[in-house]
Amino acid sequence: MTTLYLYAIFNGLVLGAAIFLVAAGLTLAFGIMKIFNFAHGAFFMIGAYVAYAVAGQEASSLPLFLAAAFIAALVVGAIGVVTDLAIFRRLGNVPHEYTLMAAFGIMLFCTGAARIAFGQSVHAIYPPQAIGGFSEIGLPVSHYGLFIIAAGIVTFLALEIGLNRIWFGKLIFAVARDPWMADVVGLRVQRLKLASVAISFALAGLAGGILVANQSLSLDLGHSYLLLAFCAVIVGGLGSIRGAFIASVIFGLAESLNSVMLPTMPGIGSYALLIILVLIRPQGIYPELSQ
Amino acid sequence: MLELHRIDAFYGQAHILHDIPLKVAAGERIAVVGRNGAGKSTLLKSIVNAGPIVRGAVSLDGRPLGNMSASDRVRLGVSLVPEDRRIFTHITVAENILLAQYGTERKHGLPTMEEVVERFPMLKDLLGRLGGQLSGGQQQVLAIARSIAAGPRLMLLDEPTEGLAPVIVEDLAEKIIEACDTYGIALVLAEQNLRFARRCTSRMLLLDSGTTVFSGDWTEFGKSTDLVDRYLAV
Ligand SMILES: Nc1ncnc2c1ncn2[C@@H]1O[C@H](COP(=O)(O)OP(=O)(O)OP(=O)(O)O)[C@@H](O)[C@H]1O
Ligand SMILES: [Mg+2]
Repeated sequence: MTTLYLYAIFNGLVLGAAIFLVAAGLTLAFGIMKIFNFAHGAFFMIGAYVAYAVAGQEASSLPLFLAAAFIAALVVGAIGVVTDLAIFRRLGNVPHEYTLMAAFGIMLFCTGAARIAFGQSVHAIYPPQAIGGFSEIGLPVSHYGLFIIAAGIVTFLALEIGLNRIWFGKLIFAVARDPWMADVVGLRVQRLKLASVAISFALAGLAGGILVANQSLSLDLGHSYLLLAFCAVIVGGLGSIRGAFIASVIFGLAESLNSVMLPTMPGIGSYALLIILVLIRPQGIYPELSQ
Repeated sequence: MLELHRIDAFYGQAHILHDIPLKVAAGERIAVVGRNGAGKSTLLKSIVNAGPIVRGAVSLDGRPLGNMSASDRVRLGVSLVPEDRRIFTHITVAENILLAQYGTERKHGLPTMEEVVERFPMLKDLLGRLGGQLSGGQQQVLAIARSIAAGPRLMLLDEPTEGLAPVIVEDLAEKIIEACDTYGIALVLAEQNLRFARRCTSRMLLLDSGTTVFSGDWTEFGKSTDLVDRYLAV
């Protein structure tokens, strides 16, 4: 019995790290820059396909698997540059709903383009041998699961430092909070916005490359994480990396424990939790400093 | 240095400024006065291209700036201190100053942090404090210090006395004059406080409903007694 729960907790942590990997890019584009990028899941899916195209069904080594994920990040980041220049930038001075509609269009377009490029079929992808095994420590712990947790923590630390400790993050926040004044003090607002969109997309691509294994890779891949990732960004307190991380872990655990305790009602735990969290802490776990 | 060739300014369809001429020589200090809503802020924002749509040329050193962005104008040495101050709340006082210096993309010739603090001692104990944790008056002083720290050739100051205690206002006039003289900064000051404006500047432009109703030096203005009654009295 306890083993079952311990196993569920481990899986919950893995799922939480996976949700955070997807939420990380969303925090930047949606949480901070307020670009309602509904297409984030589609770019995650494209990242997974790119990694698959590079490394194949089972990457021959861990370095190749990692390289494929980084190439996915670069490719999707480059798509982000094009998307910002062609679409988001032009919608900078109109109400947010237009960006939302545009992002919805982008999502449909990407799914269509991916169908043409990669086909309809579902692929089974495996992690490379180096992280394909299990360790038996009272319960079977998958190495790939540990790898995902580690990737989540590394991404968290990199973003936390990048946005809250170093100059670049301060510039990004200045542009996000008061673009008018940022322009008046001489910051290159469009360029900084472009950088944050590109990084956001690259993170989606990276998440796709890292999470591609042990899933059935199909055009629907984006949907499974996107909703939970959006929830984590909102519940975490829009724009807070720490908040998004904690909320991701909470949702991961809730999903996983839910499947053990209420196997007939999958997913209900997370959404009940979402409603409770929003009711008791509408400002988020780590709300942004008051303006 | 700065020349406005009879500019018009608009917010959407609303025609706010009509045919405003203005010439500012290097190091010269000019006040723009007028009632609430006369168009003072709109004029300053038009000079840096931050908001209103401008028709007619704004030239700097004889070169028309066209639709060059506000941030590029900063790099030509034009710095606006807006009426609502707009301190960045998420970074410290020192970082607000550094951010403005960063925006100029100049590596040399900017005032050092020590110089800035020496000029504005009020900021000394506040350097590590977040911008969002300053009082209105402290924000105002920081907004001016931030602009001077960016080493401008032309500073556009929008109602710096608003919300400041009378003693501080006296002191502020001295500070502004001193900084402008030391660094050779030309000043366009939008102001409702005539005493303060007169103290800081040598010439003035009187606006009413977006048109120039008087332009000249303060002595001339003082002689035309009806101007104050007609355009500034409530
Ligand atoms: N963003 C805006 N959109 C539309 N109209 C505006 C905008 N800002 C100002 N106005 C209008 O332009 C006119 C001039 O405003 P402006 O802010 O330049 O006045 P001001 O002289 O600075 O007044 P105050 O002394 O109150 O600051 C006013 O009639 C105002 O209603
Ligand atoms: Mg004004």
